[in-house]
Amino acid sequence: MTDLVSGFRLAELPPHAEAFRAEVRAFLADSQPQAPASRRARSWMGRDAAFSRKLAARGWVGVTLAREWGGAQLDAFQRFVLVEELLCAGAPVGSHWIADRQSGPLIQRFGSAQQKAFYLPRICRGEAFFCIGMSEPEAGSDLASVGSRARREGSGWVLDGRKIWTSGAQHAHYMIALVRTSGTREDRQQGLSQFIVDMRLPGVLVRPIRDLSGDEHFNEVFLDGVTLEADALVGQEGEGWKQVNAELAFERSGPERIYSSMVLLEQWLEALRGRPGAREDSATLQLLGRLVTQLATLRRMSIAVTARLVAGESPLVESALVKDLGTEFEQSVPDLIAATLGLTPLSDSDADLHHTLAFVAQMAPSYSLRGGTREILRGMIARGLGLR
Amino acid sequence: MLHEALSRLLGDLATPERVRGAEAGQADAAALWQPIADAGFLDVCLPENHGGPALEPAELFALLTLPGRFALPLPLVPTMLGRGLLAGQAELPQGPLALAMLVEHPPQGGLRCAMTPWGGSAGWVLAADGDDALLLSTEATHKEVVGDPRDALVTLLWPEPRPLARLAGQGDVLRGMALRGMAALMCGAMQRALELTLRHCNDRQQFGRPLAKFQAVQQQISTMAEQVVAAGIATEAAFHAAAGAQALLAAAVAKSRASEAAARVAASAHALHGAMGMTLEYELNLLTRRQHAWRMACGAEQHWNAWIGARLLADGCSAADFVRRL
Repeated sequence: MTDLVSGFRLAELPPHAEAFRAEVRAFLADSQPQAPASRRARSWMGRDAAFSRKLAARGWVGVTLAREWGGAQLDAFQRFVLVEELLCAGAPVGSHWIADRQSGPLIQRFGSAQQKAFYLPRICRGEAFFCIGMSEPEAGSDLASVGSRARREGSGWVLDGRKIWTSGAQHAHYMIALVRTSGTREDRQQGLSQFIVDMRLPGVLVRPIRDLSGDEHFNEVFLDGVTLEADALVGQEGEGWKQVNAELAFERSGPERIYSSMVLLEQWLEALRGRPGAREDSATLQLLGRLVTQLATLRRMSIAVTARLVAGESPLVESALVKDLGTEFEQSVPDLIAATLGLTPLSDSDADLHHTLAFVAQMAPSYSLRGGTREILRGMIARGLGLR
Repeated sequence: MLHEALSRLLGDLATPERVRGAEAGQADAAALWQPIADAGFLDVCLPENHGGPALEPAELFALLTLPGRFALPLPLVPTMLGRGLLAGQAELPQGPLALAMLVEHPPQGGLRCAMTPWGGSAGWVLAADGDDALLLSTEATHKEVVGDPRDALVTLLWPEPRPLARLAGQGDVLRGMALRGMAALMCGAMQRALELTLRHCNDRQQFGRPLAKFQAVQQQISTMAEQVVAAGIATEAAFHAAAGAQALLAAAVAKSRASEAAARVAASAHALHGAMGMTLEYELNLLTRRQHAWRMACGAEQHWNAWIGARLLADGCSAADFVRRL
């Protein structure tokens, strides 16, 4: 059997992680803002800075960061439980999401002593929200062709270029930007570095881009002669590609790649329970069973990857595999629920359910774009299987 | 250790030629069965106090995928599992044993077991009848082959069933067992089909380069691997849940997920093998034919999805909580 396939071994969430679930539920029962399902369906695109600070006050922002920085130092199993509960409840976690998931861990791993001392406690207090400066107008899936550039000036750096599709940039305090510090686009993965950019600096201009649902979550970010201190560089100059891949392993491996349509699925299930005859409707039962069968299996796969993270590995290809299959599932949920509701349009006309459905159906294409497109992930899986 | 031993034994014995021979004739099937029985593999599921090796769930899962991997045309997995259930509750019958779970009492009387894997060649059937499990001899039954005879799905009818043993309250235990067994067999067949496909795509050259160099080919193999991984982890989970309260539910999820994967994996394997995969001589058709047959045996994914959906609807819990119990 190929190593990639046989590497997916069943793992259980350990008792300490399961025990943690009750604490998260109690917190959510007290602190989650009331919102209709159509709003909770925004999942990790929903933002509420006050909620993020409440979560931080409870100790659950920067959850995997070390205690010395104010982190909860939870392991990846506990983070899995926390994230699972937050997403299934549809809590508005977007404000702190990037800092918690990847910027904090990146700084903890590659940052200087001063960077850690400055940023990590702020992340953990819910005072430093981050955005991801990867994509550019000419560098989407082909991330290695970034053209934004930092040149040395005095002891520091001057940054010029443009980032795009930057989620939450208009609300973020900082961006971690992948830019070129030597060579040209043709040098590909060579000569890239990562910088922490304070979004208030002169020369940083954020222009929100309205998305198809009418929300403004992503942005264009102009970097025009932005002067950075020497200490803005994260890790080693020229090591940006390696660092960004470590960051992507965090980004792709979590349960957010299977639960994006969860609020819709739960709302549909509740509607079914109130519908006479649902228990005798084999097509509906079949669809419900199919969705939970697939979800249960994906959750097992995601926990298997989490176990590899806990063991200190960096399961990049495995994460790509779970993300690809997970987003296929997430995208199928609005399609299949629309199909079943559409079969009986006279009776299935619940207004809020259709509102949620309309939102999720519009956002669903993004599930397999954000964090790496389907085609990129499948290329990684193919290499992992020994092709090419 | 057992895994390695059975893998080696089947690798020596169950060559595609001998598999085809055993599909065609009882004498060849018996010749294939005997060395496996002699090596003690029929008793791997016996409880420890009956001399069984007390395998961990993960080990048992891996072991039971092997007959699927070799497309073994014999009820080795049902016999292993069935003997484990019978031990201490009834005298262990000699020779091949089939497991039946699509059981009904027709209006005209008797007992009918639909599409029972190897129901034609096994001397004995363990049938899940309501709450109980019945041990029946297949002598003097009416047998009807369903589907391709080489895959040995047989509907059995006993006009006047006389069970040799009745295992009270073991009906669902037997159902869970049969579903896990079929899912494990499918996982084995799918893993092998994926390996053959990888090998073919790396070896076969067109347009001056291996098929593996083409993005369209890579994309299709990647989705194949995703299906194989999903089926495997759902089935391994069912083996872990085998002794618990959710045993049947987890087994239903495994059979559903493996069945859904099987049709897709078989289709991709053939698409990527080209005409080569359509030849009788090449090994692939043994595996894909089994995948289609085993998908239908014990109920396909639609059947179990509806059953799972009904449980969730009646349960009253959230979908997320339901999923966490599986």
